[in-house]
Amino acid sequence: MKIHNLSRRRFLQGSAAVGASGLLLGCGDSLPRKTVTSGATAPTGEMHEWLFIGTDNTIIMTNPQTEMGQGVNTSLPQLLAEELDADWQTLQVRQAPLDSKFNSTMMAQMTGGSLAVQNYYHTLRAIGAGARQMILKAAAAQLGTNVSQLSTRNAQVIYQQQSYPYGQFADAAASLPVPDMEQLTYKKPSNYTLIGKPLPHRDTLDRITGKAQFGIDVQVPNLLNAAIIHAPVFGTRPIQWNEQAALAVKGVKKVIPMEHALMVVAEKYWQAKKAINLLQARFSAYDSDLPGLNSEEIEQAYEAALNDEGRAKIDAAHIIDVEYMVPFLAHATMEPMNATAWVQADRVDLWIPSQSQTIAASHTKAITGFDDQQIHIHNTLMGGGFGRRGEGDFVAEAVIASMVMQQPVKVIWSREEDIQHDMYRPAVISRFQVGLDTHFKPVAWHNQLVSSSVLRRLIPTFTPDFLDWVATPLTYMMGDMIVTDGATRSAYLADDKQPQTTALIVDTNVPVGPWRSVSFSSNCFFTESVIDEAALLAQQDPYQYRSNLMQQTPREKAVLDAVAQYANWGETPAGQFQGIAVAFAFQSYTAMVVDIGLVDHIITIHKVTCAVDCGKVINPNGARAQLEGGINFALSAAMFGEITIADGHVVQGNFHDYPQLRLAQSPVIDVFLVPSGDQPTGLGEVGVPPLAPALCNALAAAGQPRIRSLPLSNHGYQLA
Amino acid sequence: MLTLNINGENLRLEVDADTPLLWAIREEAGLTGTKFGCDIGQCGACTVLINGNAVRSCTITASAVQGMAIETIESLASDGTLNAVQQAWLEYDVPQCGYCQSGQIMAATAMVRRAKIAGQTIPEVPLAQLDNICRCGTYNRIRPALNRAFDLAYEA
Repeated sequence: MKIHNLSRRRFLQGSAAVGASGLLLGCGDSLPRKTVTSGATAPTGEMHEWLFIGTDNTIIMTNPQTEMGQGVNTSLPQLLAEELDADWQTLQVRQAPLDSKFNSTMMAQMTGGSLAVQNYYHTLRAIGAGARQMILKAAAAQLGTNVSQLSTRNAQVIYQQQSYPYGQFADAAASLPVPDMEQLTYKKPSNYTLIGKPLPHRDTLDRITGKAQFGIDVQVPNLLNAAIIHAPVFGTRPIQWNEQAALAVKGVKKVIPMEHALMVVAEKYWQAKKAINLLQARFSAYDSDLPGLNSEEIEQAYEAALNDEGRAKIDAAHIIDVEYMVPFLAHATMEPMNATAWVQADRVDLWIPSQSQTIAASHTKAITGFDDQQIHIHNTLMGGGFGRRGEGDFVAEAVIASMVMQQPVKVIWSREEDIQHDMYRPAVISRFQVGLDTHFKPVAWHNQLVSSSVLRRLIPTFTPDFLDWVATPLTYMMGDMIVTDGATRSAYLADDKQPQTTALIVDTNVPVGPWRSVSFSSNCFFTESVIDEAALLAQQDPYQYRSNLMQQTPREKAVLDAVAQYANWGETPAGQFQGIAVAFAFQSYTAMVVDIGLVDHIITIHKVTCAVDCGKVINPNGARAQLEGGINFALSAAMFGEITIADGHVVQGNFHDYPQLRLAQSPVIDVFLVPSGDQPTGLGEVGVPPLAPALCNALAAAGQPRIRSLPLSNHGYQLA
Repeated sequence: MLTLNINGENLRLEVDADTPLLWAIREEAGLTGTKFGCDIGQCGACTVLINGNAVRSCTITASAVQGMAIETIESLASDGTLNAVQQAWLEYDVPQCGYCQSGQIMAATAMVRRAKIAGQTIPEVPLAQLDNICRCGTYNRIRPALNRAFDLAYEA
C-alpha cells in the first residue's frame, strides 16, 4: 500500500468555509484498484481523497462506506482518528463520492458483506499514521527540534508543554515526501484512546432531534416530487391508464409511463400520491416462462428439482432424512425506497440513500450515457439498508424522471411498492440425508439445496457493459456459491466427512437479492436444526452433543462453550426451555441460547444470550447494537416473516400483513463479546443466523414437534 | 389554505383539505423530522403530538387539526436542552439508522408526560403503549431509556 500526497493539486471545498490549502492524503494499496489518479478538485464539495487537514485545523475524513445504521460513521473514523490523534469532537466525516479508489474488496463501492471494518482496518490506520508522521516532521522543522521531542493529542502537536494545532503545520507537511508504508509506526494498543472504546454513535444527536437528513428529506431548488406504481406482476407492463384523471389533480405535472411502472410527477409528493391512485392502471398479463404465478407453483418447481437430483444412498446405524423450507422475505427498511436525481446537459447529481455508489452509477450510465466523471453522488443517511439499498432500481427511476422533466425530481415509493417490489431473500428448500454411527456421531452428511440465485441476478449489475454478453451465461456454468454459504463446512464432522452439499438452482419470476446475512439466514436454520435433531435422537444434551463433536474448531467451540456458560445452560426453572445454535459466518463465530416459556402456542422469550468472536472489536457499543439489532431482525423473520405470491404478484403489502417485532415483544438480550486475535472480522450480519434455529430448538426442548419450516406463525405460534 | 399551530407558531399553509397532516408538516411546514413510513398508521414513524396526545400524522387530515396544538420532534429541545426522552435516548445511544426515532421519541414523550400528570411510575405503564416499529431492532435500548426518561421527568 502506498500513501499519496495530493496537496499540491487544487482542493476546493464548496459548502463550508474551509481553507483551500492544507495536507491532502490519498492512498492506494494492493487491492486490484489503481487509486489516486484523479485530482481533488470538486466544485460541488465532493472530496475525492481520504483525508484533508486544513491550515485552519479543519480535519475531514472521507468515509469509504455508507451509513445505514450499522455505525460505520463511527467505527471507521475511529480507525483513522486513533492513529492520527485527531480531535474526535471536531473531526468531520463525509460519505465518499463516486470514485473507484474507495472500492471495497467486492471490487465496487459497496457497503455490505459485513466487510466495512475488515476491509478498511489497515487503510484507514495507515492514512492516520502517515499524516501524523508528516505533521510531526513539519512541526519538528518549524519548532527547531526532533520528532522524538514531540507528542500529539487531539489534533495538536505538544512540545515543551505548549500545544500547536495540526493546521499550523499542514502546509509545510504537504511539501514533505510521503512516508513509506512499511516505515509507518502505529500506536501500541495499550495506548489507544478510540479503538476498542465503546463510543456512542457520532450521529445520535441529529437522530434524536429530527435533524438527520435521510434520502427522503433531500431538498434542492426547483424540486419536483413523484409517486410510482410498478406493474404488480414482475416483468409485466402498464397497458392502459387514465392520464387525464391524474393530470386533473392540482399540482400534477406529468404522467410518465415506463417499461415496468407508471410515475406521476407533481409539485408536492402528496399531490402525486393522490393522483396515482386515480390512474386506474391496467397491466399486461403474466407472460413469464419461469415459475412464479404463485407460491405453490414455485414450491412444486423446487420439489421437481429435488426429485430429479435424487437422494444420496448412505449406510449408517441411524439415518435422518428430512426436508426444511424457508419463505421469501422482504427487507422492509423503515425509510421506503426513494431517490433524488437532477440530470443536466453535462452532469447528473444523485442524492441517494444508497449502499453502493457503483451500482447507482452503473444504472445511471446505462440511462444517460454519462461517464463516471459526470456522475455526482451525494450519499445521504439511510433509514435502514439490510441489503436492499445495494440495488439500483430506485435510483434509475429518479434519473429517468429527471431526464423527462428536465428538473430535479425525488421519487418516493409507498410502503406497498416497497414490500411488493423488493429483491427478496430467496425461498429455499433444503433436504438432508444424515448418517449417524452407533454412537450417534454424524458420519455422513448429504444436503440438497434448492433456491433461486442471488448471484445470477447480481453478476450482470457488477460487470462492465462490454462483458454483458458473457456475464449471464457464465452464471449458468459456474453455479452459485452464495446459495451454499454456511452449508459446506461443519464443525461437527471430521475433515474427511465434510458435508456433500449440492445447490440446485431454480430460476423463478420473483427477483431475489441479498438480505441481511444472505444465505446464512437460511442455511444456519437448516443445519443447526438438523444437528439438534441428531442430538435429540441420541437422547443427548444438545449443547454437550455439539461441544463433544467440535474437535478441530477451537474458536467455534469457544463461543459455544461461552454461551452455554453465560446462559446457565441446563439450569432453567420449571416451565422454561432452552435452545442453542452456533454459526460461522462473515469470518466470525456466533453462538446463541434462547430461553422460552410456552403456554399453548404462545411463546414467551425470557432471554436471548449471545456470544460472539468477531476478532478484534473496534467499538463494543456499536458491536452490541449490531448484535441486538440482528437478533430482533431475525426474530421478526422467524416468527412472522413470509412473502407469498398469488396471481404472479406479492400478496403482502404493508405492516399489517408483513408484521414486525415491537417493543413489548422484544426479548432481553445479553451479548458477550469474546474477542480473539488482532484482526477484526464481520459483525453487521452475524446476529441474524443462529436466532431462528436456537428458538426452534427451544420449542423442540419443550417437547413440541420439530419445526422444519418458517415462519412460526404458520405453525400457530405467537409471541406473548 | 389553512392555519395550523405547529410548535407554537400559527402557520398559513397551502394545503388541500384532504392532505394528511404528515405531508402538510413535511412538505408545507418544511419540518422533515417527522417521517413517512407506511401511510396506514401501522409503524408510528410519523407520530406527532396533538393537544399532548401521540397521533400518527399519516392517518389524520391537516384540516381536522386546525386550532389544535401540534408538536413535532423539532420542538422538543428548547434552548439547546434536550427533553427527558431525548436525554435518555442520548445516554443509552438508542438510534441505529434513526429513521423511526422521531416517532418513538414523540410517542414516549406523550407517555412520560401523561404518566407524570397521573402520578404513575413506569411499572404502571404498559410497554405495549409504545408500539412503533423499529427495523434496526433498538428495543433493547429503548426499554432502559424509557425508564431513564421517567426518572428524568420526575426529577425535573
